[in-house]
Amino acid sequence: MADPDETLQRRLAELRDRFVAGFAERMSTMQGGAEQLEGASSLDEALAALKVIRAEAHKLVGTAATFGFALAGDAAGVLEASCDALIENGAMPSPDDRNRLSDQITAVERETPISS
Amino acid sequence: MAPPLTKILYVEDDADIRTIAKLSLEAVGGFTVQVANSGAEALDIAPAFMPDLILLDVMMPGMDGPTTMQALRKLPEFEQTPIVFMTAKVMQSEIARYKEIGALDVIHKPFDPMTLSDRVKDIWRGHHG
Repeated sequence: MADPDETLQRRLAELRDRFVAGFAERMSTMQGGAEQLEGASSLDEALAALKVIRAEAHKLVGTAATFGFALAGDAAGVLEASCDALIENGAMPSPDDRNRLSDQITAVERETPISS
Repeated sequence: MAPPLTKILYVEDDADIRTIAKLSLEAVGGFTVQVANSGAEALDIAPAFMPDLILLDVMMPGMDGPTTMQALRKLPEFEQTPIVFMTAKVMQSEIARYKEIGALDVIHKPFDPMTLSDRVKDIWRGHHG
């Protein structure tokens, strides 16, 4: 009978590989949200874009460290907090806000398994 | 002495986390785990599965964790079932609020797959201590 610990480690490794394989798509979703925010012409559009970015960042906060990418999780946490603050503020994000979010998305990417 | 904890319903919208938590709880903890990908699905599954404990993600699209808990509590069979929230938001004020509205405890995400079951067992024992 297979050692449950070995089985777990093997399955965890498989899941980690799957997580890594899906990272480009996650980044693409966040970058798409940033582009959507850049082109937003109304507060509703801007909030919708922020929610796209926040949702993906939130998932990374909860998953990245579990798969061994703690720094990516931390960077995603910073990004999520920024999105939360802007959503709560309820005003059109300024160019500085948008630049900051863009930088924070880049910071997440820098810590990810697809950046090396 | 605490009654045995055998069946756990885990409610989480993120597929990766759902898979890893189920694997961890089954392989390390020896629990029987049923998963649901939303609050609505949890409400469908729970009556047939009759979990001893429910692990509930806080932030989910549609019904979030607190809303799902309220809906579960309206079902007579789940009025008293221990519900533990899982969240990536670790602000003490939010954790206190979750406990105020009826969560037994809160587990932080990300979690360590090797120790998640121990954390759940500790909470269960504490509840029945």
